[in-house]
Amino acid sequence: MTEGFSNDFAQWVLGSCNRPVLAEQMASVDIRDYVSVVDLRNDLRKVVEEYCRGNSNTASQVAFEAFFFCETVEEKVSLGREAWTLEDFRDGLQDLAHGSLQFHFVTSRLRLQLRTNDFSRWFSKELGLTELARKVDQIDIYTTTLDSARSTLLHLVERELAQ
Amino acid sequence: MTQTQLETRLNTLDDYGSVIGTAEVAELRTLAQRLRGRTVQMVNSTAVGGGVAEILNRMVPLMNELEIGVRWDVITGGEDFFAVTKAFHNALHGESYRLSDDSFKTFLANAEQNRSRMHFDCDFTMIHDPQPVVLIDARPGGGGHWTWRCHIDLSQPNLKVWNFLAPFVNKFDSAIFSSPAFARRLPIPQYLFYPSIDPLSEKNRELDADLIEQTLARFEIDPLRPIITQISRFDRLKDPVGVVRAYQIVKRYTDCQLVLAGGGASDDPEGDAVLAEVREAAGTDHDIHILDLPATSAAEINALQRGSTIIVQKSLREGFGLTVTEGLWKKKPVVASAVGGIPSQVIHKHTGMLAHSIEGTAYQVRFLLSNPGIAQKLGENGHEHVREHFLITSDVRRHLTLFLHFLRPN
Repeated sequence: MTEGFSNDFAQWVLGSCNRPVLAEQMASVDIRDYVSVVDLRNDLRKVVEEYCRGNSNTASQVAFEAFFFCETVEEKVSLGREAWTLEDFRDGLQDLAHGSLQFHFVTSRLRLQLRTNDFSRWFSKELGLTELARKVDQIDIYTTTLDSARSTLLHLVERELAQ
Repeated sequence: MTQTQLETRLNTLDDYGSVIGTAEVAELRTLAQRLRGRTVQMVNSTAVGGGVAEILNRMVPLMNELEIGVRWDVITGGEDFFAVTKAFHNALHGESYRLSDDSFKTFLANAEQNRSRMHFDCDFTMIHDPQPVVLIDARPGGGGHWTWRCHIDLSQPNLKVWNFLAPFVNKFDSAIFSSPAFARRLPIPQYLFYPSIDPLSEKNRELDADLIEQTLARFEIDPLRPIITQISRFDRLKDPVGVVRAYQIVKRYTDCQLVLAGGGASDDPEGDAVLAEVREAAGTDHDIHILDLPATSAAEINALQRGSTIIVQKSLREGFGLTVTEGLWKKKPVVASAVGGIPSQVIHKHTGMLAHSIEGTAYQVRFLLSNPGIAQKLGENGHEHVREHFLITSDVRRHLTLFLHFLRPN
């Protein structure tokens, strides 16, 4: 389900601080442009700092509710399934749970420290399908749900298989 | 200590495939493979009534199906003990309450009795809520991994009670809260777990329209006029009298009915007094239906929720509010207080409406009665929100992941 902005920071800035301009700026920071959490954090800080500098009267106002910083506990467990062909991949993708899709398609970007995801990397490196890899990498993970991202991905793979 | 009675008609994991998809079910089996043969002990204070008992009633058999040996024990206690734990509960939710030294003695004495009856030999022990928290002292030789699962809102606790309980909590290896806002500063790792409902249980499964109509008829509720419903224990923190006041405001604009239905929990001694207060507030209005239902009324509650036009949860304080989750799952428009875990479920104007007062509750109910298209859309969004985050299968997955995390070296 998509609702408001797709990152917690932007959502809090909008909902609890009532700062829509800053919220829009924070929501526009795209994880796909980064290869490390450090760089991502630095740029988010920069956006907030610049906003506060230009709006010093609002920078110290108290929010309606606090922002609670959390971290994720990630446990990697092999599913015991492999894909060696694009057909294998299509079949596997259809049966992939949300947690796995998130792991391979979203969080993989920072883990790989490359501007790509696990799927695109495999298409490109192992199957030589660089154009498919590029198109898959373009799928907007911010404005869609995991299910709709999967549908788009499947559509692209099916089209590749049909060629 | 009693081994609890589990629901007789149990669904298997595969039955959940139709709700969450077979891929999600397969993921649970994959996660559980690494925990096969491990043992878990769940301990709480009541086998029936209340959200914790309902969650355990489903989680235990599902985990057992995954070949994780789960045992569920319930502590016992007399009326004096449960009067104290109820006072603790209210005080931890921020209510002012004078607790005597005898209260603490009663609490500790009861814990000692339970401790001598119970044994603890599992890989993972999960103690639910404050009532059995003292059992941490029964941990044999520091063995196993002990977690305190707190289902209540500790954001503004009565400090006398919290300062009494905190030294016990600090002895656990970890704690779980239902919202980051509920957590306290503790020297142990804290995890965020949403509670959950079972979509296939008697309380939440799909019902035939005939059964819903029959239930409404049985309670003399008119299906042709709007029905506003709050399902909750008769507890002051659920503000049933406030719901009556909100309904009385709405009634000035719309010819509607109010249903206040609640079952009792065996660890809640205040229910009768609150029920009397609600009856007094309702007066002679025949459109207010106050239903004091036994804890076995899951089917009736399901039918009442599904037969309702709007679900209300006007709590003053709330742990998570699983009755809200139930209403959202049934695609009902929900008007609820912005307290406890409710804002995690009711995203204002997206999955429901939040309110902060009697007047606000009445206003949002009036708005939804006047705008049925918006009400329907909120209900649909709410259903999807629950499917993604608050079903028992997600809860099982979170537990399995956490157990794997505990097993990881260092």
